[in-house]
Amino acid sequence: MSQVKFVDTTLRDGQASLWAENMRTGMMLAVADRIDNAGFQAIELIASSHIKKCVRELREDPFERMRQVAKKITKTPLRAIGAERISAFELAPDSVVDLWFERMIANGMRQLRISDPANDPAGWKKSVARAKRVGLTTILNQIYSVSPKHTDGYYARKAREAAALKPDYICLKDPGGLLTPERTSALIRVIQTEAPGVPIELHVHCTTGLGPLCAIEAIKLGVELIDVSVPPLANASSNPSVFNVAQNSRALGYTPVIDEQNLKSVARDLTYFAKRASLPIGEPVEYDYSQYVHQVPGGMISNLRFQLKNLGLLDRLPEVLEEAILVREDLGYPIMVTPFSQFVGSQAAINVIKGERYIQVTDQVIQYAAGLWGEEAASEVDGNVKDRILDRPRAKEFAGWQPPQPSLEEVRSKLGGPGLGDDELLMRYVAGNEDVDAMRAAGAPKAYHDAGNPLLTLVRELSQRKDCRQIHIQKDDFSLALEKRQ
Amino acid sequence: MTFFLLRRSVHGIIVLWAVATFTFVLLRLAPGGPFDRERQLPAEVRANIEAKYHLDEPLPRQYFRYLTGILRGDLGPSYKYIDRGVNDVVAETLPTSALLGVLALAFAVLIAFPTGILAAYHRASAIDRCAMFFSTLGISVPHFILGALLIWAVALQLGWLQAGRWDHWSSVILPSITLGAAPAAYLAALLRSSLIDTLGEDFISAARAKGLKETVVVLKHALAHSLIPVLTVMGPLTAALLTGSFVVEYVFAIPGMGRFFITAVTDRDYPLVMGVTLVYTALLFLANVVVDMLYGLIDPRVRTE
Repeated sequence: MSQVKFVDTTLRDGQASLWAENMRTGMMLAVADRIDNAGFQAIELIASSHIKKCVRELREDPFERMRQVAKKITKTPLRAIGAERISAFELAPDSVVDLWFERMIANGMRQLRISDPANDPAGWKKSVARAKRVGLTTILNQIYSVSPKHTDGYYARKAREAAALKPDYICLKDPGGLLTPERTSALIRVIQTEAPGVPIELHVHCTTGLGPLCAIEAIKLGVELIDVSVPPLANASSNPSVFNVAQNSRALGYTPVIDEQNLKSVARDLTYFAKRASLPIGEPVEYDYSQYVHQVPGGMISNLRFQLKNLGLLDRLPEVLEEAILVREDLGYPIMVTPFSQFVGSQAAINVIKGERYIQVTDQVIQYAAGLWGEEAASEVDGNVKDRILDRPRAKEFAGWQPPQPSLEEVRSKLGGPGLGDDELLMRYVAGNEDVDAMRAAGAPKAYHDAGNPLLTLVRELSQRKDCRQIHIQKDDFSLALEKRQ
Repeated sequence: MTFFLLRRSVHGIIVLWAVATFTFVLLRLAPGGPFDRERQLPAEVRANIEAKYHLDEPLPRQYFRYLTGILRGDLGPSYKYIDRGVNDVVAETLPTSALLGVLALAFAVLIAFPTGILAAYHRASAIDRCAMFFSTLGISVPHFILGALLIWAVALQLGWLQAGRWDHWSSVILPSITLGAAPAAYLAALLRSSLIDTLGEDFISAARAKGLKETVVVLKHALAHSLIPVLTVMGPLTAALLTGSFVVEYVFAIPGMGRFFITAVTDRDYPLVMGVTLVYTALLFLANVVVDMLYGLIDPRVRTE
């Protein structure tokens, strides 16, 4: 009977979609070895967006995260997600991007799932070449979207362009959870026809509730790898639950290559961490047609929610999502994936907050309209909107501008001098010196213990406190006294 | 003619093989490697990169791989421009460099011939002294000085032409003049010297004695005879102009082959250096074959040989 194989996304897209990348390194380390032993074909760990998030908000070293997790996950290949842009919203020089690819390998990554936000073969080509050069296995994303331009013919052409680059896998990626079983079936057949011999991976989200159904459809068509997450970081705007997909595939007569028993304790511990840190628990959602209208991906929604909440404007989220529909149409239907989804989402939020459309425009949207993020994309921006965006002094500054290409030596010298380490250079380039210094000052990341022995965990943590010598715990008939004797 | 071309083709293949071999050996002997930089690469990354480019293989196997690649028309991958092969780099940049070279050559010929003829005909006159002053100046002033001066005067002060890039007709004039100035000066001086010698020959006196017009004597009889040394120089000069000038391409921000060649050397981008050298050699060889054929057209004695 045919086997069904899985890629784990819990530590990467699962927590990005549901926890806005707020998962701590300590939480990952607490469950890493059990995920490693579960039989996944790969474990996704890091994206370039994590660098800024880790340094600026979590005050954790993302490279130390990679190294620590790589020490725990030794059987399953670790995977990174990304492409040319180490900083998703900035155009980085080649020297820095080269270094990022080298440091992925040096810090334990073995695979790279490559995305270009516009499915642009020029962007793919560079990333595939860079990845193969340093020895990373390449998985090339075909990003799914719904718009007048994203037809079967479009995806057939993209599959041919992707296959020409000889990636190890082609991944049909649906960041917005927009795929239906019918479209999954049609597009997988298109890829199988146009890219014969290239194994296929499916990456769907459950934002509309259809993710698990799409996974089943892909399994029936012989797709080699299915991306899944461990609850509570599965479902909702995240990927399908590994338990659900494994169970359904078994019911259909397939053999899922996964140790579900091993993952049950992972689910229990992650739920425990979520409750302690007041982080959301992913639940299956009802079918939501509005997702097809605004197409804002799960990670973006959780980020928008997080940012609007900080501004005290959480009640205006539906209004921002409505505006996102119009901004996307104005910009010529970019695929709603990082960084374009953020371009659209941020501009929509600005339009709503300012009360007038495009009175203030982000630099990225100006660059997008000016063609710096791809000529094809810029050519599809609505003419009137384009004039409005480009008719401002800031836009004139970008005319004829090309991203500078400093050497690594120049970048290193600017950020701290010859003694600056490679990982430190990348962090300082992406997050800035001030935040890296603040991260260093914050000390080592907090350790998390599994939820298997709560009493043992309590005693262990209490014993590490230095501000008390005696601890007495009393609950009903239970009494515990601890005393430091030295 | 067929035998001549066949013989030259065999010579060409031998020359290309010798240049390919010499470049291969020379680059491997040079200190430093393609992936050396200000900080050492992690061992695992270095091993992966070297395996990707077959640099972990013994040198004879690398050499054999390189030669068989050339025979298939594949000049290999570039180590620096990682998403492009050397064929891509040459295909993208050679047309630009070649167009710049053709325009510079046209400028050089258009300036050199009238200047050289006038200077020779009016030997030791004010015209001759003036022409030779500018010729000496043209040979002496480096490209980067002339280019910078032209940009300052014509583009920035007068605003007549575009100062840089290669995207409009007004952007091609200043670099063509800059690149063509020295060849124009050199060819003018060479033609003057050759023509002065020819004008003192007996057959010129005989032509004048027959009552031929001076224009016919100079432009038909003397000039044709004086072209041999000029053509000899024009072979390698054409190849050099066609394959680009790093300085001029750099000063005017032109995306040509010269820039890639120089950065490839400093980057130890072996395949790109070897590929560009081979293209340069092939062009030089072709230019010399054309010059040899032109000798035959101009001088019947050469045709007979």
